[in-house]
Amino acid sequence: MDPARIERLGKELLSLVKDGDDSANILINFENVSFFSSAAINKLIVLEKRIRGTGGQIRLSNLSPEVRDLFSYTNLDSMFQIKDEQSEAMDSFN
Amino acid sequence: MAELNTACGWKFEQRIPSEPDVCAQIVATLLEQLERTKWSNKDIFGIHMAVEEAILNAIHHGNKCSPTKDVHLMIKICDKEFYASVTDQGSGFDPDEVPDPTAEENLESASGRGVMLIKNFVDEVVYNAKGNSVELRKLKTV
Repeated sequence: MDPARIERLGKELLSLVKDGDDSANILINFENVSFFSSAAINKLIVLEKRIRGTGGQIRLSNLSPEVRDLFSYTNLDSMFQIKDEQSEAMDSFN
Repeated sequence: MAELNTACGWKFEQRIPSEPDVCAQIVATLLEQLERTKWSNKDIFGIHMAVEEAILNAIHHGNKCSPTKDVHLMIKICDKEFYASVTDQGSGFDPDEVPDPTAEENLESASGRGVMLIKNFVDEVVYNAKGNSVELRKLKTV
């Protein structure tokens, strides 16, 4: 993933949560994501912190087996709730 | 690391500048070659991860993005295995001293995640004594 694309991804992710948002719940569907680097993970972690700051929650769904492995190896599946399907992820918000 | 014992149809050796954009171009070329030679999606994902992380580590942490330092790359795609070596001109590091990125207290930190991912996505990872060069090997899944 080229650096410009990573930066764009970071900006787009952060734009999902605005200053002053209350309990922002965000679901990210990975259906069309074939690769995810550690730099991309770092952007996702920044988003997770921002969402947590609002009292909200983040869910990930539809990960390919390889991207799922990535979250498992890094133990980030303890930080992110990962669901197989989008509907299951939607239903899991408190 | 032991010598490759299969025929290698694609070899690439080059000194590249310490620029992440150049890394992206080389990785794109590598992925095209892996697809052309019928490596599985899972293998390609693993090689992509390990090579990209190794080159970016060399550029960012090894050479500190210095325009006066380059990264030496050697990549071979063989019939049954993949090999790459990535060498920077930095002072090196001890991979055993990198903090465990999977520890609860380190999860939010970026440090060490790349090194750990390299180890998990290829079959063999060997650093030289100085810690400024890494060799990667992955066997082709049949």
